[in-house]
Amino acid sequence: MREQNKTAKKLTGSVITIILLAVCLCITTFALVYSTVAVDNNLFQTGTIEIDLNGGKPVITGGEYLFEPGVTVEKPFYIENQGTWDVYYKLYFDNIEGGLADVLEVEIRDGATVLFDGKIAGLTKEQVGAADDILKLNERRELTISFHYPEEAGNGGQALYLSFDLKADAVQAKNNPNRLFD
Amino acid sequence: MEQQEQPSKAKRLKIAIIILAVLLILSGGGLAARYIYLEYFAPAQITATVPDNLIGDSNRTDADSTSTENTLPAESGPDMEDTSEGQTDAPENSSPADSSTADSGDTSPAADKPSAPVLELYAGRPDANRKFEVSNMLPGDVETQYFCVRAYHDANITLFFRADVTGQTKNLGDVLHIRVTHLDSGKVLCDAPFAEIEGKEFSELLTANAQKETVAYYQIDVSLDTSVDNEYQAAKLLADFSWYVKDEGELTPPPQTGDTTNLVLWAVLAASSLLLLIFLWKRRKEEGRHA
Repeated sequence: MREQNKTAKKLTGSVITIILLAVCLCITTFALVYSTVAVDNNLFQTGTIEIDLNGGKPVITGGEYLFEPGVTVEKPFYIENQGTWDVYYKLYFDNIEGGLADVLEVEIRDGATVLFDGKIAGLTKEQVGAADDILKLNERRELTISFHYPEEAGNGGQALYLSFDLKADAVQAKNNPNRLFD
Repeated sequence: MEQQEQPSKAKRLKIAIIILAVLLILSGGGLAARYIYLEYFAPAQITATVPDNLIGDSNRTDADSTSTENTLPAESGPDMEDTSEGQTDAPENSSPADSSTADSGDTSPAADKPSAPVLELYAGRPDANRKFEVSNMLPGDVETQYFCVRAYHDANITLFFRADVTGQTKNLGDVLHIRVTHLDSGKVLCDAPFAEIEGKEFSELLTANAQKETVAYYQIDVSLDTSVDNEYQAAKLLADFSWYVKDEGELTPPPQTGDTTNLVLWAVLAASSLLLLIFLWKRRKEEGRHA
């Protein structure tokens, strides 16, 4: 039994020695035959396009206001560039439900500058283009959204409701002269 | 029966070890001999040339210098002086091709014994041979870096280029494109995503010349197509770029550069000697025990 263990140990030792010698042989052979120069660890990293729209919170919540002809409600919200490059952006409405979509007039402003305006039903992803200006790296814009119930709409909007998602798309400003989003 | 087989196995292993050890010693000896030859006995190759000397008509140099101007990477002066110590400085706006000719007329200080590798990354320009590092790449970006390889040879040689991806996230190699162009000849060695060229060899023939050396500038463009999806945002890729010559028969020793160390050689020799010593010591110990 002891003898067998000894032989097994010897064999393992021999095999390990053979492997080590073979590796050394390969290295020396390579060193003899090849002449190499190298630039190692070249690194390529891609950037990110990321925006924060009002921290994910809704700009207006249900039951907050009672809309009637002539009423205008203004709410602040923000958009912030959290990516690694300047971006073009657009704001639009998605998952629109309820009859008030064709009644309420919406306006999104940056200070006194109107960025987007019209009926909610007309401010969808396909219909809205990019804002005129660039949202620079790390820039945060305080915007205002106003909902206006036109007086001429009369009582036609009674008992109607509106629910929607306000969304923002951003796309790199670099290498994108035509402000293409897709 | 089994007991009979084991001694014969051990015998075979012993023979294998002896053969490998002999081969290793021969190989190590070969390396050492080559190193010693290059260090002490190889004939010195010193050529001092001051190119483009001109008396009289100055139009010739003007024409020469403008013809290759557009192919130039940006350049600033000081590094050039640092790295081409003792050589005639190429004109500030000279192209890689220009520097090749300027360098080929080596004006290295007289040296008695040549050494240094026969293939080297030649830092003749400050913007060449730096590690290629790009961050914040976006679709549509094309980033460029120049690399320069100097080979000393007295016959035509095949220079190989290979890019090895050593790490990546989000499979960036599928969309990150690499294009390698030899600036002087305009030959495109490879033009494909990293994933496609990974580990492949791309060769180019460097023809022998009177100066017995070639300075080859390579432009490496790394790009992301505008069609690349959002899934590749915040991804990264690490790659090693290598240039090598397989057969040294055509390579010649370069002039003395001052760098006489060859760490790899000595490390390999030391490791092999250590292994042999351990092996022999163990055997003696075991033999002593049996005795």
